[in-house]
Order: sequence, then structure tokens, then C-alpha cells
Amino acid sequence: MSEPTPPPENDPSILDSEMLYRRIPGSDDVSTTWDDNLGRLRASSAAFDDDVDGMSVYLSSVVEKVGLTAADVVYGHPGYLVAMISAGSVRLEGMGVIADPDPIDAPPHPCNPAHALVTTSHMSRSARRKAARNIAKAAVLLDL
Amino acid sequence: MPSSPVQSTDAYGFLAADSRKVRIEFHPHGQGTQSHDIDLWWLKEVGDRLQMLVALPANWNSHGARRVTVQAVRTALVVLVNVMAANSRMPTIVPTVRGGLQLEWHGGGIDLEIEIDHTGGGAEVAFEDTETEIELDEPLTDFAVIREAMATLTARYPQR
Repeated sequence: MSEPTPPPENDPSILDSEMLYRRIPGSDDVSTTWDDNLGRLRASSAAFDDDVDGMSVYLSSVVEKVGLTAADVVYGHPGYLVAMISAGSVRLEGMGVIADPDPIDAPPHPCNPAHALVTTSHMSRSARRKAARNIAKAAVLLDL
Repeated sequence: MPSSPVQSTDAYGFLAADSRKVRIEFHPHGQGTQSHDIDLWWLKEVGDRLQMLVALPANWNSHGARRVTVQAVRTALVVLVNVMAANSRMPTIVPTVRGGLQLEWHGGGIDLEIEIDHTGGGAEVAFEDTETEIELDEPLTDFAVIREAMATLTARYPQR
């Protein structure tokens, strides 16, 4: 019998309705793909793979709380896009969401107080890839 | 005594990026040194794309991504030579955060993704068909699996 998947590192105080902003490169379609099944351009699943310590996102409620908007997520990153997905959608894929404000190793950015991580370290590589594929299809590219 | 070269590692623990000297040459029919019964109609466009991706700097995604490796480029070309047919759709080719590449097609109710790792020695295939509800997620060990998926995709999602 296989071991049950351990629970993700997750902060339940972040509501499922919380929208997560993920900054992705937009120039030269580096992180986007045309999906004829959906009839739209969308982020590639590769754009939702882990960063060094989880997947970096920004919490929309905190972005607004500090007087900023989704457009500020790409501040200092010309040509970038913002992909938006709910915390609930991410959790449905078995991932967790935790706040990670003002990360020590991150360069200064106005949205750093809203920084958060989607946690996946409890998942197998195969499970992470499947989750990334589903998230990529569900995420919406914002018109900034 | 000369000091030993120090090889630095990046945030993922990989050795620092290798040489960027990638040269992808295109020999249209009749100009190559050998004649094979394969149609490389897609090679120029794919080659241009790979040249662009391999030139991306480290941290190209602003989240610490590694540079695309030459090994991943080589494997991507090998995969495509083995699976692309005369009537295939062009793949979308994107870099992965660990220095690999991903080839993908989405159409006709099919999602097909091939992720090539940064070593070029491993690849994973993910296939989902909403019409037949067939799903596949496994290491790439047999090009025939992809050719079959590509044939189904092409039948339902022909070239424009």
C-alpha cells in the first residue's frame, strides 16, 4: 500500500476566494501557448513550475491593501504578464498557499508585502506537473 | 601552482550555465550531404525558436530560472525529428525553470506536452484526450507513443 500524501504547508487564513497573481514573462511567448481547445492564449504549464522554494505569487487582497493593483506586480519587469488564479483552485490540485511577505533574498519590489508561496514540496514530481497543467488551463491572463 | 577552476552552482544546485555556442544549421532538400526520407519542413522555424530560447539570460522569468541548456536543445531536436510528420502542427516550445524545454500542442480536444529536462537525458510525456478520456503521464521511452498521439491530434486538428 502506498503512503498517503502528506498535507501541504498551508495557511487556512488565506481564503479560497483569494486571487493569486503570478508574474510571467510575456515577450516572445516565452511562457505562453495558444490553446485551441480553450480558444485563447494562456500561460504554459511550465510557467507554474516551482521556483527555488515554492511558486512565487502575490496575494491580491494585500496588493490592494497597500494601495496597488495587479499591474504593479510587473513593476520593473517590462513585457511581463500577470496570470491570475484563485487560492481555492490551487488547493484543489493538492497545493498549499502561505504568506511570505518581504522575502529576505528578493530584490526590492513594491508588491513584496503581498508575496506568498504556493507550496508543493509534499507532492511527487508527477503530481506537481499534473497540477501545473490544470492550473495553467484555469488561470487567466490579465489585461493590464 | 595555478588555482583550480571553481565551478559555481545556481540556486537549484546545478553547475553554472555552459557555453552558449549553439549552431543550428538548416539544409533544405538537395543541399545536405545526405539524402534521407524525412521531411524537415519545421526545422528552420524550430531552429530559430531554439536559438532565441538558449540565448535567454539566467533568471529569465524573474523567479530564478536557469538558462536553457544545450543538452536540452539537442534532445528537443531529436524528439521532433522522430515525431514530426509532413502534416503535423508546429509545437509551442517554452523553457522550463530548471533549464529544460517543453514542447506542447493543444487542439482537437487533446493536450500533449513533452518536458525535456536540463540534462537532455530525460523527458516526460503528458497526454490528455477529452474525447476518449485517455490520459498518459510517463517517462518518454518510446517515440511510437508520441507519434500515435500526434497522429490523433493531426487528424482532429489539421494544419491551417
